[in-house]
Amino acid sequence: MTTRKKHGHGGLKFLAFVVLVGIAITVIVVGSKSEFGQRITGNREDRRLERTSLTPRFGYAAAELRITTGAIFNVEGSMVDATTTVEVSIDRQSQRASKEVTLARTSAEVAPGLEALPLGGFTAARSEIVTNDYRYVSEAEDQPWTRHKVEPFYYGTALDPHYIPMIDDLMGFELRTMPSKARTVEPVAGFKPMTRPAVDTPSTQSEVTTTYSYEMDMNTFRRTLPILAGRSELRAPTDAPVTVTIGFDDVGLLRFADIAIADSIAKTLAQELGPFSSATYRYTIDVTDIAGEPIDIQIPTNVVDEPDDTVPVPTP
Amino acid sequence: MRQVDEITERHAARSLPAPTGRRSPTGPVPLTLPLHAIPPPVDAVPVLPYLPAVVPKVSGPVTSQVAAMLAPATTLNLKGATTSAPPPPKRAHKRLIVLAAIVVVALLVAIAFRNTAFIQRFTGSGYDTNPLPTHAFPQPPFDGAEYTVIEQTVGMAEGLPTNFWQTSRAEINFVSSTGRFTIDYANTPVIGGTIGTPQSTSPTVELVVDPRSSYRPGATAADPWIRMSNAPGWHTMALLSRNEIYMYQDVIDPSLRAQQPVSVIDEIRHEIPVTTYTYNFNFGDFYESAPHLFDLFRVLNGNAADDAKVTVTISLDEQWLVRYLDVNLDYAAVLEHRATVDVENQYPYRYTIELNSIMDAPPDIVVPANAVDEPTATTITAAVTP
Repeated sequence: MTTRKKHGHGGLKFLAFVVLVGIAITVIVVGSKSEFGQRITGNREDRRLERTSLTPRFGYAAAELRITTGAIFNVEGSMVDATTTVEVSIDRQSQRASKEVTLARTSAEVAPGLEALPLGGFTAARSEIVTNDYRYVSEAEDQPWTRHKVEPFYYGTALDPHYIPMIDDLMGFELRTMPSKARTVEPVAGFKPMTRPAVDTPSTQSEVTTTYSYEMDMNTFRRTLPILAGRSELRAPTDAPVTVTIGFDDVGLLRFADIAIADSIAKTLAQELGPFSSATYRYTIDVTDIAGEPIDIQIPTNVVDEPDDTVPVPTP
Repeated sequence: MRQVDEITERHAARSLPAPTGRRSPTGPVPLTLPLHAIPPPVDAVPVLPYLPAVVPKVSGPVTSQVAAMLAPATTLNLKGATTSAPPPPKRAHKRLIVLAAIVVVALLVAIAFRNTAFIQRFTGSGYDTNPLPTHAFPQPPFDGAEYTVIEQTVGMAEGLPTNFWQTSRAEINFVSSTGRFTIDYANTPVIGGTIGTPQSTSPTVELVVDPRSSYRPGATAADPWIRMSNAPGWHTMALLSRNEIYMYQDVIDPSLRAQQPVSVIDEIRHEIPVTTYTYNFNFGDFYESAPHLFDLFRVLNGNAADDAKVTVTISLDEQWLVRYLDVNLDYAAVLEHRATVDVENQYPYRYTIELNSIMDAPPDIVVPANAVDEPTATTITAAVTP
């Protein structure tokens, strides 16, 4: 009888053990899907504050940039590969910007010892000064500046306070999850922790510290980097490969961007667009200096108004 | 040993409460001893209770007379009862001390390392509580879609501030890269700060679009369709791509995710359950609050003062498809800032994109075969997206 009882208790114990194990498994399975369980199992690391917090927007007093655009120009039916270089100086306090624009045959296109081919109606160089109200253009030193009235649409222009975007402006959730080719200047993987100075702290010597490089198709480029896609004005079939490199400094400010498609696509487009058209195949932004002190940009005094012509501020 | 003690206790417990009259599981318990079992009175002999014959434990020699007659009863091991009692207080104290020490050490460790990543996994500090995801979602598979884009502008017409509508309904076949668009135009004056009911201003414009050309009907039903070449540059290809169907990450960037919505509601749109997030901010803060969205609707740039109100409404379904997107800049501010200053132009203030449906089977869109070329210029496909 005692033996029977022992057998009975053993069965109960085993049953209890099975029930307990079942409960434990259920609790683990259900609990691991909960917020707490996900944290414990390390599946919420992307929710760490240092990874989800926005980079404080960096305020600068002045900046200097070099914007280079490689494009195929259709000069009366002849395809010319030319590079436009725009040296931009921005003074935030006075809300003025100056530009030195030069246009030259892309060096790879010019044979050594030969003069560059004439570019038809294209001007080789000009200077511009832009304010909120006017755009001043000078194409020759000994001639007065021409003044054009501008409409107050500054987004994407040098007068836009967000002309140099921050890392959070450019890198959305899709781009953050895309594989980036290892081209970091410093061995920093992913995003840097929040060790940046406070907002509006001027930085005089800030350089590219993190670079991301991608290869994607045109559709993905338009979707993941809409701001740069709009500025670069690259036009290509939706499946055309695009190479993108973007670099940020230690405050999260864009310091370098290089976007390129095959020049053959631009040649095709320039041919289709017809004479006196151009198609961009490469666009580069190089922020050469971020200054804490304002830059003195003088408004020209020797000015002639453009007659009855309202010209919006062009996007470089 | 311990189990045997417990069994002993249980038996005693079952048999002793018999005076209440309840039946014991081991059978009826006699309330009195049988007469023959009562010995003649002797000296003061302790009276032991009668216990059933089955007693689990026998120990110790039988000495007394009563005990001899009631052997089973006398075999009740009272020592056993004492062994089933809780452990000696000294041992319990030791266990408590050890337990307390472990707890204290664990607490000290937790406090000392509370800011480490591992401990924060338990405490939850260091994690954000925003329910919106921080990653992108793949677009679900579909081969066709129907959506509506409504653009609203304000301007001056016949001396009156007027609201203009352009409503484009698109049906896209993503397999053949063809689309069918119908575009309606309407307007109504803004009287007393109220926008009236839209009045259609022209017949519906119909367009069939493929990557190279756009087609519109002839003047009458008997006339052939008219073919127009699309402008070079693959704009149309982009328009006919799945990129035009937005996902969560296409409209909500890290900056917008960090904003506090003024309302979050669950509702049904086109028979699809969605969660709708509404955000408010000043126009001057639009870019910094939602840079991707601002860039998408950059045509609003400069149309109002910085303190004008912007309302953004986004409905997301369970696949994180954007089912509804509305960006609404206060039209009164646009009228005041631009439209009444420049009476020649209309200024956009509101865009509404509504995804009516996505389809597994692509819609049947027939490109007109008998179209004739438009005699004059190359025409750009009608702008459906801003």
